[in-house]
Amino acid sequence: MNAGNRALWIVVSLLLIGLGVLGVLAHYGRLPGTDPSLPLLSPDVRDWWNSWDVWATVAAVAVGLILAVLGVMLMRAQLRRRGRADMPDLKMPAERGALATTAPSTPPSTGPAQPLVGAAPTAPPPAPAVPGGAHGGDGGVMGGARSRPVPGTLRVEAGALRHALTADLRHQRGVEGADVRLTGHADDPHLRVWLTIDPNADLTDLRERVVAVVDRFTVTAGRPAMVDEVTVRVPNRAPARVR
Amino acid sequence: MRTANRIGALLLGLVLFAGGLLVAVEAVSVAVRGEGWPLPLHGVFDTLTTTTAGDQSFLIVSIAVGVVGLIIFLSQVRPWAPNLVAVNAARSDGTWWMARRSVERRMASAANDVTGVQQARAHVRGGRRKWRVTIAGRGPADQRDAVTEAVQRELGRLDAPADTGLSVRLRPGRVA
Repeated sequence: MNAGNRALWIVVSLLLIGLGVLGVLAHYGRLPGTDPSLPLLSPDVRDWWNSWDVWATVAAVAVGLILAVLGVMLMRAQLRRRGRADMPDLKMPAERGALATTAPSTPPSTGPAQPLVGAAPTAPPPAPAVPGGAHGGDGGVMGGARSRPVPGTLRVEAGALRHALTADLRHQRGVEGADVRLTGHADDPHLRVWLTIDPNADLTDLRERVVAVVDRFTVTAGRPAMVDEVTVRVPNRAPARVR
Repeated sequence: MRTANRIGALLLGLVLFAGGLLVAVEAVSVAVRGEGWPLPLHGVFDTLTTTTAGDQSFLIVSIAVGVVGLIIFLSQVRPWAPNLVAVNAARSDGTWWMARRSVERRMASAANDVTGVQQARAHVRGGRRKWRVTIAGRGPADQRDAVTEAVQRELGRLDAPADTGLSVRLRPGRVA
């Protein structure tokens, strides 16, 4: 997008420079084929327009519509979100979803592979589960994680996964704000993460914690997630220093 | 600049859309009613058929158009500071990005924490993956090494690329 806009404006600027130079040359009579004493538009143009009859109108309408379409395309390109399309909801066999919810229970602080959504009641996840985030296609599996697997399809809303992942990130030490975008195919989730961090945060430590969060997401989603990009921002205030 | 470009492109798209529709509507209006609508074309036609390239107004407009084009051109071809720079780059599992202004704030803050250093400002230049930091501030010259060390420590906390350049300029501070 940035490179495209830059190229667009370079082209526009060259056109403007060219028009300006041609205008100055025409003014001083240095442009071959022009006469500074002649009007910019010949009065004969009206007759010329009328000689084309209806085709002049058709041509003008066509040119106008082409310009309008180009304008819409340009606006759409500017407003379009960058990157891949948002990930659709996950669909998996109910047995598989149930297995994911009964992953080995480990304490929240040390369990990097603990599911984010619908964990077993004996081992609450570090991030709050999102109510209604998952729906069993045949009897609601997520609500009763310890129930026996039942046949059917388990649908996990991508939005619920996103909210759970965002909440888990926000709970990490050194993170003041987080936002996540899930993209790609449901079988191949990709993550784009935006973090607002404490000015004192050590990025190398933070990275380890984020990797653990992504690992938990992988367990929850039942498929590995690829982190495409992590963008970090620091709020505009001085870090607290210990002297 | 990126935001300005985007807003400008959005406005250009809007102008193209509105202008294109206007051309189409005017053409149909001229064909059906014999006169332009919604804009009367007589005034435009009269102006264009009475103005010559030798007129002073034509020269002024031409120069203005050329200057605007030149300003836009120069603003596009000059090197831009990256809005994001690579941090945590030493790891093999991908690169994190940090807002350039955030990096500048952290570096300036680290420099200002050195005793005797005031009004330190940091500038990050270069590319997204390979960048350099310039620190400029007021303070005793013998604190330059201390500032360099503090900023390098902060770069280490960001796990900045190993080849990140650093230059420190300290001017003598004002005596109170």
